[in-house]
Amino acid sequence: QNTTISGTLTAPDGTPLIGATVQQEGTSSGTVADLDGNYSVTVSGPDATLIFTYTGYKTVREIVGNRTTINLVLAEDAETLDQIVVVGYGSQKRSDITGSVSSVSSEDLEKAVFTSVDQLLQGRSAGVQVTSSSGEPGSGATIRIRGNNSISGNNGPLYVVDGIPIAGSPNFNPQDIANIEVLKDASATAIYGSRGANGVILVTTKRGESGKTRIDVSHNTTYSEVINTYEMLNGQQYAEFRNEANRDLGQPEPFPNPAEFAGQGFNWQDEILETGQRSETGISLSGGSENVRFFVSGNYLSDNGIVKGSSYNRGTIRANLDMDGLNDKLLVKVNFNAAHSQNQRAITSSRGFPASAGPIFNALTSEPIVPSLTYSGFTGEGNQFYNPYLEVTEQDDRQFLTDLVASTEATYKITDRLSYTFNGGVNFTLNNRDIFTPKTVGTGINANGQASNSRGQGYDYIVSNYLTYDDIFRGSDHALTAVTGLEYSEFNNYSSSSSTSNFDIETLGSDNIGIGTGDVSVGSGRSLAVLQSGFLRANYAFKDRYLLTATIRADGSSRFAENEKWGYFPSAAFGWRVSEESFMADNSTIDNLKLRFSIGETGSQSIGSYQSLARYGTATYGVGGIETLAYIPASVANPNLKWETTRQIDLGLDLGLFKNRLEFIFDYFKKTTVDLLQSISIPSQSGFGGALVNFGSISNEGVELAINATPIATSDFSWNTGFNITTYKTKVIELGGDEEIFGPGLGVNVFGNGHIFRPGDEYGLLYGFNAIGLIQESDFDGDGNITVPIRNNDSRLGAWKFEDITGPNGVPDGIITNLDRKVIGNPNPDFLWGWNNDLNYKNFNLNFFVQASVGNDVYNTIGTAVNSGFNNNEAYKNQTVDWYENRWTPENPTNDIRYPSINSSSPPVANYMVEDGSYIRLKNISLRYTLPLANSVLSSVQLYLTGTNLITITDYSGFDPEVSSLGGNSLAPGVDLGVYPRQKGYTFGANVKF
Amino acid sequence: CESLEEVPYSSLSVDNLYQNEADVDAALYGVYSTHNVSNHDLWYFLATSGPSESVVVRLKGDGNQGRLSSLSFTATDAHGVWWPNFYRMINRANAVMANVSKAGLDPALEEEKTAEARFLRAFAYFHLVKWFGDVPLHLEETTDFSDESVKKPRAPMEEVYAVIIDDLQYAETRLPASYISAEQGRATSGAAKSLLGKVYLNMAGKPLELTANYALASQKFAEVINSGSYALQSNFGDVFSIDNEFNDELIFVRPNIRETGVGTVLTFFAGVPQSPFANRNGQYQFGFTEYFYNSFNPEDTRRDETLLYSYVDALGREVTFNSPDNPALPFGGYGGNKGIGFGKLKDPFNDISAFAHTNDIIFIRYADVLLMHAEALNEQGQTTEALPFLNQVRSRAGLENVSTTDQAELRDIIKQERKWELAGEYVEYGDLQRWGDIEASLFLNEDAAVFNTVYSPAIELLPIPQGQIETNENLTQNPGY
Repeated sequence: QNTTISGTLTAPDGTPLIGATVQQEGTSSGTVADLDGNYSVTVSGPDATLIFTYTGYKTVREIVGNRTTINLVLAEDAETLDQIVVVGYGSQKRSDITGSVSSVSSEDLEKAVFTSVDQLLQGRSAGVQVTSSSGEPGSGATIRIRGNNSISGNNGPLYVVDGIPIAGSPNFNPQDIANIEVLKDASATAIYGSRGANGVILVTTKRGESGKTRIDVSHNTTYSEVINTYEMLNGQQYAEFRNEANRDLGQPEPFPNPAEFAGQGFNWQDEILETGQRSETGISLSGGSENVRFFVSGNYLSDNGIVKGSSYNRGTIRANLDMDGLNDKLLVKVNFNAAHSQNQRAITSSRGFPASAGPIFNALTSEPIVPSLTYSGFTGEGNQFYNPYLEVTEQDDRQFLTDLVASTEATYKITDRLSYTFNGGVNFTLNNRDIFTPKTVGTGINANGQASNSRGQGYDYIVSNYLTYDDIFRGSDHALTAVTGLEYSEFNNYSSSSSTSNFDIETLGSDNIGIGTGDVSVGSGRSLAVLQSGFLRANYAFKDRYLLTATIRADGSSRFAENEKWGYFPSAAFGWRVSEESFMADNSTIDNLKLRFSIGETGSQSIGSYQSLARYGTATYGVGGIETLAYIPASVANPNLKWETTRQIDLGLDLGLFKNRLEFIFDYFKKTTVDLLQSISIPSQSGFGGALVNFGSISNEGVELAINATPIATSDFSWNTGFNITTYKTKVIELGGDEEIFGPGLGVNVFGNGHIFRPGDEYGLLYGFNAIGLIQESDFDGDGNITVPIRNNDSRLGAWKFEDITGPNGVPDGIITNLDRKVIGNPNPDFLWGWNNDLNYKNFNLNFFVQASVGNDVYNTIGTAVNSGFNNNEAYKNQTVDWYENRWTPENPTNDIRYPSINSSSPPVANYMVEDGSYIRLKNISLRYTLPLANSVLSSVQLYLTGTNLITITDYSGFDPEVSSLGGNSLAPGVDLGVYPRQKGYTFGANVKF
Repeated sequence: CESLEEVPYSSLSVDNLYQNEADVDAALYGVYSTHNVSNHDLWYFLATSGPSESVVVRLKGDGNQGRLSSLSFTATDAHGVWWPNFYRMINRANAVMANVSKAGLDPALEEEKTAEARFLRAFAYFHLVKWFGDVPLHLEETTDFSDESVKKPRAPMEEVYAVIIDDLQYAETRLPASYISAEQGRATSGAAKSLLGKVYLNMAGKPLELTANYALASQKFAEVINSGSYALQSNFGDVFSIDNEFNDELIFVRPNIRETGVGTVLTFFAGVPQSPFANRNGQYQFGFTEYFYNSFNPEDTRRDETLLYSYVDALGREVTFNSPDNPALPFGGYGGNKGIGFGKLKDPFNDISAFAHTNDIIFIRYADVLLMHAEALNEQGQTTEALPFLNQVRSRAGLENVSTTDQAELRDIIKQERKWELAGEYVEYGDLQRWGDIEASLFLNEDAAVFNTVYSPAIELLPIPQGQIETNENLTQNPGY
């Protein structure tokens, strides 16, 4: 006969365990504790066993007997490490993990303001370097897990969202994230085979729980401003500067009366910058019945950046549904996410030359003296004026991104140990970009208005099927769990583009480019790649203390060449939970001690489609004076082209002390990537300059340490702190036929390549001339002949004097040529660290997060462009006050290479561009207050104030040391071309829960 | 596994190209297009016209420009770009020859297309053999990059010339005499005959000195002249005007238009600062020397067309920066270094791209043929017969007729005439090589003086690009490098 049992569930400190589950063993009968920890459950009789569970507490089993009241104090689970960790194709207890996996939970994420999933990993996880390319709203970030593995391939990690691998980085609302796992070593990533080499980021989104429907409403508003600006010459200073420069060249003075410009002149930075405003509103609903649970959210973000005319708006909708059926044997999870963003970009390069010349560059270099704010004619000297204000206000650059991800995961328990899972998903992306450059701006001036439309569509499909056999030898000392499955993925891409010029009517802009009567250029493309895979993972534990994980994945990729269609990626890992040994049983200090070792191989299949085939390309030829299509053999076949292979070992130690209030996670890793994808030079007499092959290797070696501590935990006050630090070195071991590889040109009026990759060197070292001073009177002999080596015949006073390193014969030759370049900097940080603190006092919560990069150099390319005077009659360049006041003059014969004379040659890439890019930044500080509520409708109201990037300690002189202008290009780390400046922001927000 | 096979939906391959005549033409345009690549024209100019006494460069110190123009060559200089560029042309021509039959054309038409490919292959090999001497012979399309396929050693110059002559003889009888206007710029039988004559003339000169070839050369030039297809423009400046493209004087040109990819960058590098050509971004990296200016007879109408003293600026104002009395304009930025602007490369209306100009690159024109014919006849001792061809060119320039019948005297006159007539037209280094005049010219070369270049036989040929020697161990370097 049925009996009703009731009682109260509390924690050891007396607080009620709201939502703790109570269930009769072997049945589906159960309930959850209410706000006061009270429960009431009907059981079948005195023999019934009740199971009381609550996350973070020890599960308790009680036989009911004759009782009607069971009050329990659940003990905290000393192994709070024993959270469930999502790994590929399944999950594991943290204590059983043998690989290197870091987790970031939603609680860590809620306390800062993020727009993209990329950003939120910055500083939060050891071994992960996140560099955002600029401060532009909606801009992406470069993520490197344990360094770069490749030179010409892709170095970005694989994102897997709710089991569905995503091409690129995911586009959705970060508030939907429940937790993130970063898989770092081969043991963890090998299950992703040919896509695992750069690490894997597993994102799990929030899901509903049975019970009352919970409604969360949140809103926040951020005001932001530029962190730092350059002090440029004003009107009068500029006039004096130009006069002096022209006098020096023996040319007439352009501004006969500089004094007339006193107090005049535009500060173009002020004209293009404004206070940014960002606001975000979100709502989520979750709940459900016992068998159907849901999490639904909607979010709208509107981010008007600090550059006028730039904005990023995004709306997202998510619906996650869970259904149990067939007597709980079937669990179906349906996930749907739609995101649409509209990005009005204001930083578009509007001129082909110099490279990257857009409004930021122009705001720094444009002359301050023009007739009006909206002027776009010629300057007084007859030069075309490129107006930065018009570039931000009149150039229209819209990028619309639509992302739909839908997936269904169904797990059927064939027996209570064996289950079958089907996971099928689709990912549709639409990427539209429309640009209109009116006739007042950049290339639009000469083209009489220019417009382009480009469309990209991606359709990716994935189907995986796998069997999980859980705990095969249950009840014995041997615990074996195995997962095996098959997967098929398909990646379809379609693109099209069109552009034209000559718009007599500009009103319709790029919305109807048919109005343009200039030459029309159109194009389209289509590609398909297929990936077929099989995988197997076995986890074995003996007596819960000796752990073994073995994984293998086979990937067949259409991108691999005909002789190398299939790759095999094995890994193995061993763990020893020392703290479980009997000799440790009496140790009250050490709660957890685990040693880990893993070894394995993963791949990177960042070969573009069709790269192994002999392809023809198109060119054009002006036959008959008409641009005419031409066909050319574009590549030579390589039937052996395959993935890059990364071999990695990892040695790890997990230590938990004082009831796990102090935890250390330490990892040493060494990765070697071989078979690098490289375009090697083949003899050009073949008609081809190069061929894509697998050759060469690089290595990464480093250590990571994460420390988590709870120094104070009382009922009123608690302090949690987490610190992580990473250091590693990426070394080039061997390259293909080329002994050295140079990075791309740096652009922006600075000439030459700036990076070098050589065997034996660190990755991507900065490479250029070494200026050792400025040419002085004393460098000439009695006959007026220069006595120091000079470059480009430039022997003018105050010009750079460079170190003569060597010549064609291996010894200094008295002339400065490209042979006189050397390593002038290192863009790789010595250390990266992040420090997070969470303090709770009664209803207050203070969270602050500090993040740092130490020891990395940055090319301040834009800084050099505005700090080196007047180069080669380039009349459009304004300069900084700092340079102007400190520059070399006969009266101020400085030897400081940062201050050359007024007429210098164009700066080649050299040490004067290199600055220490180290910084320590208070990335985030947030104060929250939770209103004590008696009201039963509202369950909580939280108000908060957050500051972002409020304090930055750095010696870097540009807008911001955290910069990566060429971020998409692995060959060019640490370059500042004058990007969208980063901002500091103040956020006010509220979260209301019903 | 079947589904792992790739289908390159949007890339052409040898399987779906070559379906019809239009496809073959597009593949042939691909052969022509080889040289529309960035900066090629700059290096082409600097190593053909740069080493002469007429041209001076701005960037004297930093390797490429200074060294090419001063004959102080090194194996890593930018002349190295031709090696890949011309071999790319050769491979593309080979690919057309290998695949043209797939289009199923009439046999005569197929031969015409093959002839065009062979003309272009000969054009490329002629450049290579002149500059580098012995060069590897690739006469098949490259389909793999095995050592046997891509690491061939150098073939003797005579063998290379044999291939060139064979190709041009095939081409001269099969190419059409002219094209409809929409196809102008393609090789004609006149272009093949002119080039073949030029090939013979070069073989007759140094270094091979196969003097019997003078007769073969003059025979080809006579065929061109007697064809009646070509004539001198009455006004010298009209030859180069962008309003007068494909005029009767032009025998083989590379047509350029103001679009990225099919324009020439040369005008950008030649443009004086803020000049209307080069879209006001002119780099003015080279100019003519004052020595060259002074060499002109003041009556010569070519002087003030070849050299530039004034321009119309962006605001429509005429800017006269110099005059015939004081012609040299400082290059700017480096002090003391002067040159005279290029008048043959004007594109006053470029409003599309500073880098891509519409000025055609003239490879062979009728005045060149006339002067080569005069040279070939004179070298055979037929001085009297040579004079009318020389005098046609002189009288167009407003100069008096020459009447000497002294072979040596006439030889010098013809040489000087070529320098005036064809200055900056990519013939100078080849002429000096053929005449054995590099050493003599060295003393007049302003850039060489800056570099203190000393004559050595090595500079009669360019060094094999270092990168090529590094990737192909079967290549040997030219002596002296």
